[in-house]
Amino acid sequence: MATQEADDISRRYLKRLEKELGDLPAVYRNEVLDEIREHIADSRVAVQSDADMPAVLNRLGDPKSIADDARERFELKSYRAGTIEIAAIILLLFSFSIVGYIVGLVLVWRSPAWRRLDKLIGTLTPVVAVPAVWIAGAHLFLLVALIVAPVYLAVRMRNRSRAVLLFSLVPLGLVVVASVGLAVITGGGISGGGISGGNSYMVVNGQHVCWVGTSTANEKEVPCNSVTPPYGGWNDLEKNSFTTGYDYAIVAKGQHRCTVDTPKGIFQRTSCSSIPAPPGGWQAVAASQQSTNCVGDEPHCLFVATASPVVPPTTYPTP
Amino acid sequence: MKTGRDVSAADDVVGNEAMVAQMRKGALEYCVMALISDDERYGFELVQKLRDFDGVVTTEGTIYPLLSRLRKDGRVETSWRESPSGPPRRYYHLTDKGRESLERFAVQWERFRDAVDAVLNERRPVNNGS
Repeated sequence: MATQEADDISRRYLKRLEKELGDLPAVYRNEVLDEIREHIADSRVAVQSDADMPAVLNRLGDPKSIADDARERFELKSYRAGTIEIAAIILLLFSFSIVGYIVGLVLVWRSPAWRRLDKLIGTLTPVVAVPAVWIAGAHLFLLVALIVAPVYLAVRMRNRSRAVLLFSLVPLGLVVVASVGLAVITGGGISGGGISGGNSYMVVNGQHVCWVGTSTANEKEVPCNSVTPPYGGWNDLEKNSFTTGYDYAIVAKGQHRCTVDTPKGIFQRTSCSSIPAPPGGWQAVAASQQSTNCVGDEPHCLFVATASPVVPPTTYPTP
Repeated sequence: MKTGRDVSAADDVVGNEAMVAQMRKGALEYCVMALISDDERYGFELVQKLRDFDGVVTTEGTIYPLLSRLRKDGRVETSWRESPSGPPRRYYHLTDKGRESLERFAVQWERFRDAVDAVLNERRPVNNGS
């Protein structure tokens, strides 16, 4: 056996042993691990060969047997994760309140089923991730930031049966399935509602005037050959006519709804896939950005939307 | 195919193992204490010494939690000494408390062993076949 291979199997052995000895007091756990590490090193020196490494480890015994024996020596009961741990994970997922969340964390910290480092990671992950995601404006990832910690804790739980893992992961699975379902129903993960944006085309004093933008804040006038033409193509110019082409998309009750202006100037509801996407693509919008004065298909609803970069198409139609 | 005799022999081996394991569990810590009652020894040396006594220890790794436990109880102490072949080693020696505990065990063990021997000798000789 090569030295590298002997190193690898002894490292794996020690890692397993460390895991198995997890509930021994740290000072004694480290002492045992140091001693067994030294035992392995001494054995290698004694036989002056790495070929015997499996035999050395075999004589040392299965890490689980050593840990079981150690627990007995230290009069520790083997802890089996169960109801408390499942309750902690469910509270972290579904508490919907600071108090419930804190109770979940208290249960996590009181349980011996997690190492201190895992408890720390489980506690700090949402504290760091949620504000970071919020500040970054990626509100859709808030859910991810919130479920990362329970998922991590469920997976890192020690001394658990498969049933406990299953019971912990079922609520997590429900959250994921419900979120994906909601995203599919609402068209791209829109939560709450809002307006996604569009192009507007008007005739002012006998000339086409075009704007792109996703909000009144970033709306800007652009050459009409830089935007996708309205449904039905460009209309004839009529002096002082008001609107000659108008496609817009709004979000009402969490769903995209699209309307096109026909060549005859009649607004017509249509499927959103049948019209060009607004500049920058369909935008997910937060509930806070939903128009509150959007009645029916009023055009002004168009401009209450997310602030996203406007990406004009690269090929331009000629009006 | 395994015969009934094979299965029975295998059962015997398992049964013997379980029986010896029970006896070993209680006595092992005193065996360890006995081996460091006169001389300090480090872990690997102690395990090697135990190997000289057949059946005293099978899972060598269990010696180390046992030593930790004895140290926790104050029956052994450790001291660090330089090693010729690597980092310093932890040497184990018996404390006064450990020595007293070992003496008590030795007396009790002798009484117990004699009593068990006497009981076993009370058996009637096994009659083979006739």
